[in-house]
Amino acid sequence: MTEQSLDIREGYKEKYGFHDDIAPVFKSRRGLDKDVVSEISAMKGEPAWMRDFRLKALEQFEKKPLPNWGGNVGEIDFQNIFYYLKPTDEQGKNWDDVPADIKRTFDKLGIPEAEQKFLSGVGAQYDSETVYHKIKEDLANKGVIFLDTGSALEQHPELFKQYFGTIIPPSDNKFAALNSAVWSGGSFIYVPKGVKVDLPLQAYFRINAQNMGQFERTLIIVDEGAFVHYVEGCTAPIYASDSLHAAVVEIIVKKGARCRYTTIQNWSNNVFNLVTKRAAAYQDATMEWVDANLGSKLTMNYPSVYMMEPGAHAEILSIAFAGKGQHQDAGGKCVHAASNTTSNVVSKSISKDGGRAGYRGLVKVAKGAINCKSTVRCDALLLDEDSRSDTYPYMEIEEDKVSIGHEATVSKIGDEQLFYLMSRGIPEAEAAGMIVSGFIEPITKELPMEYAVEMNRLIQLQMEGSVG
Amino acid sequence: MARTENPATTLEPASALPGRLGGLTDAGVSALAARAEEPAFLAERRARAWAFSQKTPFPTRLEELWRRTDISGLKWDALLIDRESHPVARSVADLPAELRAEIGPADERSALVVVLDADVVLLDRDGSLARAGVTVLSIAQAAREKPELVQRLVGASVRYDESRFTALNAALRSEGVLIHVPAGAVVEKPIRVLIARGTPDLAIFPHLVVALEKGAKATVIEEYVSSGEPGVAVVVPVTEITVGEAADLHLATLNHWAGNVYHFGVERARIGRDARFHWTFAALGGKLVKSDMELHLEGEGAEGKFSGCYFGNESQHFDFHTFQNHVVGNTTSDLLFKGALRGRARTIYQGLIRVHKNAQRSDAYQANRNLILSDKARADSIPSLEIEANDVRCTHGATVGQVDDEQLFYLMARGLAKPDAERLIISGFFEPVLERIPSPTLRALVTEAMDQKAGR
Repeated sequence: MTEQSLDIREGYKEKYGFHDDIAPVFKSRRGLDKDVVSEISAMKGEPAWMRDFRLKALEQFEKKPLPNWGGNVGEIDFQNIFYYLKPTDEQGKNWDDVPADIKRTFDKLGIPEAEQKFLSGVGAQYDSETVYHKIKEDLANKGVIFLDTGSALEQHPELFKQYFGTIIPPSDNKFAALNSAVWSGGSFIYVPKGVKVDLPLQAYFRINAQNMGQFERTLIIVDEGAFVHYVEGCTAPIYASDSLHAAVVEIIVKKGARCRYTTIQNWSNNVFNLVTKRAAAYQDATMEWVDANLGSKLTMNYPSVYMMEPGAHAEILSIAFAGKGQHQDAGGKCVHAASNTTSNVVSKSISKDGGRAGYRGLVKVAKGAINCKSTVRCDALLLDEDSRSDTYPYMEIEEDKVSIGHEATVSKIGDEQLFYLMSRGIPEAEAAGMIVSGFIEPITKELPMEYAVEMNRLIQLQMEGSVG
Repeated sequence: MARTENPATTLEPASALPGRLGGLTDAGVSALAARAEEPAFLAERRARAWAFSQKTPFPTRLEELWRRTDISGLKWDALLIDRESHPVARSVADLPAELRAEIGPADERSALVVVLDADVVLLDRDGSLARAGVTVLSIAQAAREKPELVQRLVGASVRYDESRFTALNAALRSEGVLIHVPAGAVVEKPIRVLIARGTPDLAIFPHLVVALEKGAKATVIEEYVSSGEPGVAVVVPVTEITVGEAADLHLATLNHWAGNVYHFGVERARIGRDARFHWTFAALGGKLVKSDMELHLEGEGAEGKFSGCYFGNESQHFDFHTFQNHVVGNTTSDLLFKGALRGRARTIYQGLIRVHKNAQRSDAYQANRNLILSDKARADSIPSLEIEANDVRCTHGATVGQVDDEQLFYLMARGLAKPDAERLIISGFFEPVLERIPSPTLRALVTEAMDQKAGR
């Protein structure tokens, strides 16, 4: 990945805030109704069951109220959004097939370069459709499937239908219903039994058009004893009016398998990011969410792990960084539905320049699930007096043989730490940056090295001129 | 234990006075005020509160703080809200035996107020209180004798228009109690307020007002007891506490209700500059208890400390909400809330620390520890933080677990039978809270009740 690829706010406008004047090959009209949904389905040439699924989901969406907690979603104008925008006719198998102006975007973002260096496969989504998708040949030969979700429906209908919508039904919440009605793009991954994908698979999501809604749908199945690490990144241009990103991510981690899902969310400050991510982990399986929320106007995102069978383990690492005008309502959910399951949550949130960041989480131990252990650790750093930090941990425990703990702290940068570093000749801003880097280190150390280096670098950048 | 010597022969009172909540009219509310012989400002407040309650629904599970407590099955209309007055007791000796046991020796207190159902049946004050200028009166009497105090303090912290509960409390208020300690006065021994109930199907609306002026010091014990009369028992109390500049108040709240009581309470303390407020809380009884307990730190240097415990068994449902509200800076709050659950008990702890913008150098702590002793019990814990100032120290923690195997093993290896070892561990768990109860008699009573629950 190139140096600029993970920058958060500082310099966002120059680096990611650009947009290209692309003439899409198809654009649905503004707003949402049955006709728009049917049209999307027809454009994609989907089977009847998927069209019906979408239409039923639309009914759910219309019926469900907006959430009255978390952030202010009341200002989203659902009828002012374009729900489907197809940028190009063909999906590229190599970058030369991608239309030049779109490829330029991904070049700027450093995606092709990163693919060469350290990825097993890459998917690139531009507005509603995936414009590029490729996986290393040896993995394909081992039976690993890495496709955009629409193609997976076409090419692997049986496998697709077996799992699609089983982890997050459309009725789950208003935004999951919306995604189910108008979904387009996203990744489909199947890793066969015992196959370990040693380098990450990456997807890159880009919103280009104004008032665009991006609704990618990701489905990952990690079969018994297999392993995969999936990384997603996202950026968008800066427009005066808002865009909406409402993804649904469903993951199935079978017996003894492990899945790690890393998100570097870096939308521009005009994107509502309302995402439903959930994994089901079976016997002795491990699901890990590494979730960094740096961008967007409002993020409501609580990656979840349902531990369905004994021995399952959940790991959630969450970073939320809220700057000016941003509200990061991040967190996670660990549902212990079986005995002898364990979960561990570490959340680090940083608020700055009037931003609001927080943790909202749930640990649930269901009836009959004994010997469950869970620890939740939330730390928040407030960098100035205008910012805000929230912690809302929910614990619902229905069994007695458990060990559940939650701890949280909220503080500012320690004067002593700052003094210590400054007395060794380090300028204040740099010292503060170092302290923040140390603060989020438990999470950055879990990132692939290229990301970790970048994350630290941009925290430094972010901190410049912020103290003193 | 709250039986009268003259049990009411008719539960349906005569004529203009209201009977059941269902048929209550504006005239019925006026009749309540008239009978209490209240001044106009209190009667008017009742009328306004009644009007507000009529247009405000009870909370439903759609509201965040009520998501885990369902009261839709409670038949409010069928509840009695009035009965014939209980006779006034001349001394503790006139009270029923069960109440006397609860009260203990006279040298443990400076005053005793007993409220039975809707009436103050005993007002027993040490001579030293009057000499120090301390007021301990029913609100109705205080309104006649010291109207300016009542006007200033009643409804000053808990407004009637906060919810249907606070509105009903203000409109239908049972005889309330007002405690006022003037500037500089120090009350050495606890002032006790015993709120008891004994009439089947009666809803009661207790109101306790405690105010300490600058530099005053006092201890107040607020106690809820009942004997489990038949029928549905509903209690909707409001407690308003004001701790003035550099004053020091210790409040102990003990809930000892019988197993049929539904309790919907709001208790709010406003703590002024350099004031200290220590709150000891123990909840044992009730079928369903929903309680808001709030510490508002409103002056620099204010300190609020809350030490609470609860023990639920059988099918008890406890839903506690605590609020540590740092309105200004240089304030400290420290909350420890410990609970044990047995049987099919369900407890909910929802706590919030809020540090307002500019409330710099606030120091807030909040801990909730739960011991689950049965596989049918359920504990929810939601300790939340909303922090808008950066130069603060705010930490919280919550745990849910079981009796520690190692501790159990240690005790059993020394010859204790398992139930005894368990009881000992539970009693050790609660001790740091119980030892703060400021009356030896009460401390012994509560400890014994806790032990009984632990041993079952």
